[in-house]
Amino acid sequence: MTPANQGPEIIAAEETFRLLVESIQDYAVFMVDPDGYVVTWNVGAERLKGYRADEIIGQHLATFYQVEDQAKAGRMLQTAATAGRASDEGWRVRKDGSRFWAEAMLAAIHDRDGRLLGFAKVTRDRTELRQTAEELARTNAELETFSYSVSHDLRAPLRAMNGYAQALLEDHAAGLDAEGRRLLAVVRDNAQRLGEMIDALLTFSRLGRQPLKTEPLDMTDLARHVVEELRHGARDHAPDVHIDPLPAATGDRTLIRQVFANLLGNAFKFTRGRPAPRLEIGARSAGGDLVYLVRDNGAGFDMRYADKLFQVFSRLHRQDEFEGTGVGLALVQRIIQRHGGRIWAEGVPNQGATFYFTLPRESKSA
Amino acid sequence: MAGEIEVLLVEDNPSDVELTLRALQKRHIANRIKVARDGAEALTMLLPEGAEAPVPQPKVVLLDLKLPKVNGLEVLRRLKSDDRTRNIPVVVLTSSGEGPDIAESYRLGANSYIVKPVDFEAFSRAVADAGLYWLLLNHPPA
Repeated sequence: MTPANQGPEIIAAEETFRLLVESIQDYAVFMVDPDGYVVTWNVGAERLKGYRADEIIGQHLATFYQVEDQAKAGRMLQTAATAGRASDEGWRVRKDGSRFWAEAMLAAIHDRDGRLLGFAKVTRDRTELRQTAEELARTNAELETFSYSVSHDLRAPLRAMNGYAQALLEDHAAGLDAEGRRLLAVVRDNAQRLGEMIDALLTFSRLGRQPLKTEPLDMTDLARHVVEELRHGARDHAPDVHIDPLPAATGDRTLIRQVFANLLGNAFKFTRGRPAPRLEIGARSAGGDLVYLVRDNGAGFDMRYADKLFQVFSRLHRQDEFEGTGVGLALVQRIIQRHGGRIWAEGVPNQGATFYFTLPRESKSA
Repeated sequence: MAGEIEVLLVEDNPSDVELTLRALQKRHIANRIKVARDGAEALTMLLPEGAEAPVPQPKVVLLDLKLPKVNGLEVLRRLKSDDRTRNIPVVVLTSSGEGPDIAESYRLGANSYIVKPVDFEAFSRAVADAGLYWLLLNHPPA
């Protein structure tokens, strides 16, 4: 390349670039001078803001802001001039007075000697996103109120049912025969069970809202602690437990502990009363994913119902076979999904079940 | 002191009132229990308007949070910000551990916080233990 033919090439490249910018439809891309007055205009800007080039060139950036926000335009220019760039989100006004939610970026442009030539401004319309976010926030707030009121208002009548049944047993036991006392006990059991279900459901709904506190996790240690706790709580049932050394992961300690507590709790539960009960906790690397597994040789399940496993209040066993609220695995799935992982299961009736889940590797958050 | 109230129960749900009274009486913890059925009634009893002379105060207040008229948190705030009632132990009783109530109750000066369990035996134990502690073991400043 010789200096002689550099000129026309640069001019051609500039022309191509100018045409490219001018034809962008979804973004307003334009230049303002160092004082904030519009110098160029593209199709996207016309579409987004409603002004034709000849109407807006020479007008100030503040034109696009709501009256109460116009000082922001100046501040944004200032920031971009000192820091090189500035970005902003907020309501902007079109030519016809209507508003849109803008995501905007302003970048300072200097010549070779460092003199400020002006600013490039890129704006896009995020109104829909904004509306969706607002709707979501509203729905979440409603859900919060709802679960709060569920937890208060539904528990009170349950407490009364339970309490009066108990009072009846205490004060009038003599007037009841064995069958009468049995019927009352059934009433109490069911009231208590409903109470547990309400609590489990609340835990489940709370999970979607509380922020994750992620940290590096020693998964072997976590699994071992949960197993110890379960052994403690089930002295009459002592399955053989084998824990492989597990690779570390990144996650919320309390929640991942809950994942183990549920999966291992299930494994304990479904191996109860079976010959040579055995649990296995392991991990393997598959296709770049870190896969953990919890396996048991217990009651298992029929793969035809595998899609029901993770649904709230859906159970594959009768209450008189294995107790439970039907929320545990839904909770586990929600926790894993919030961590960006996946969960699935394999089972064979009367031979056992294996639950697999993936988690981000430790290195990712570092 | 004859006629002195030992426990003031602030509770609007009649079943909860009956069951709480039963729990306290069964364990012979308190015999002189008074009930306020909403927050306004509790405040009238404990902080009568214009009365500078101390009114007889209970040894402990068992306070439900969800009350008609004046809610429990407001009752708590008023009791803990008035010299006449500041030192009365307040045990907050509520249906649930959900929401910001626990932190808010402690911030306002609650002495204990009990989530009423659905299990009645656990409920009576919790109520009775709290009553016992504040009635018999606690020595408020004279």
